[in-house]
Amino acid sequence: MRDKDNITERQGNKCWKCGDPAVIHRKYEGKSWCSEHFTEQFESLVKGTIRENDLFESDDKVCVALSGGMDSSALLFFLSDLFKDWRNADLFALAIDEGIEDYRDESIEIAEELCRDLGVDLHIASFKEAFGKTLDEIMEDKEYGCTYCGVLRRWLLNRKSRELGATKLATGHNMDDELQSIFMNYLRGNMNRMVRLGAKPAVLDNEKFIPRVKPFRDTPEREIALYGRLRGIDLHQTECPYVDNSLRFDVRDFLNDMEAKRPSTKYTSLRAFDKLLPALQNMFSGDDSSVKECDFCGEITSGDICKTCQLREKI
Amino acid sequence: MSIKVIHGKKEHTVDDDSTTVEGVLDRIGVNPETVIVEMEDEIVSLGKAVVDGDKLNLINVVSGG
Repeated sequence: MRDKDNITERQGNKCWKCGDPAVIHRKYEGKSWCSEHFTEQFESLVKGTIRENDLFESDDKVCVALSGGMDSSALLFFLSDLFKDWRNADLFALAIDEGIEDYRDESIEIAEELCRDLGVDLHIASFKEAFGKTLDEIMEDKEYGCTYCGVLRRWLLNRKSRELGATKLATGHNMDDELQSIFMNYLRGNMNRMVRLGAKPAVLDNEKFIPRVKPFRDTPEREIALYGRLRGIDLHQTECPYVDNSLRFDVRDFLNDMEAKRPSTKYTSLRAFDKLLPALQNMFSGDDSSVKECDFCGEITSGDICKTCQLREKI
Repeated sequence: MSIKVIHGKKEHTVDDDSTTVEGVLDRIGVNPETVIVEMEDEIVSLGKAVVDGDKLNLINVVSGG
């Protein structure tokens, strides 16, 4: 064996199962994986998350919130394969077109192509149709696009998926997203908002609310991207022009730095939160009788007017 | 030893004695948690050895909105 081969093997460049060239070395578990065994194990882990959290029923009609980004594209790919064996379940995708020039049109194209390839129905709901303006038009005289976009997008995803008959709304949220939300809520003192986290957030039991599920919640973002790449999914790399998540980005960079220096930081942090979550739910979960219907749109809200309709007044 | 690195619109040439992909990323200040690395159109792990003349393509994996 040549010196170079000795070095690579020592540094974990061979799959621990078969000895083929590795595509990933997971420092947090001390193992390297080739493409075949990584893919197999990735899918097994996600199935574990689905099983342990009872994310789906056998007759669910699942709507995947598809942005055309890697997480939601990989999720649709994974679920379309999984659901082939579920005779009574149904799967479709819903993309929200916020109306962001040179950004969303590209990702919608990727979403359309993916759905064509997978044979999955794609529905597109637009801000223009729902709210009368594109996000570009809304932002002409405003700052902080994420505030508007996030609230309006969630409202539209819920309403449209309900109209389409969905019983679950699956999102591509990953371990990194979840941890960022945990740390951000902690830093802002929003402990009550943490009950909305988890693979199957216990938010509301109301017919107007489509329950959210996050099958990738226990999976690092980098591994989802790797899985998607290995499965041949196009990666949409353009950054949203309105992105303004300074705290989220600070937390993201902090966690990535910690993971690089101290492998397993992300896993142990998430597991620690999972131990706290039942206590938080006991402490902060509200009584569903406090849920009202918005005076304007009829969607569920905790006050008289929902956040979406409050923002609509300003656009 | 000289390694060429393409990272989005940026291009780096690393001239030092890094022996692995991870060493090259460290040299140019890229957190390995944020990228997937390709060499000759194949995805490689961070422990992959590099030799003079290798070309790395870095794919960003962190979400940007």
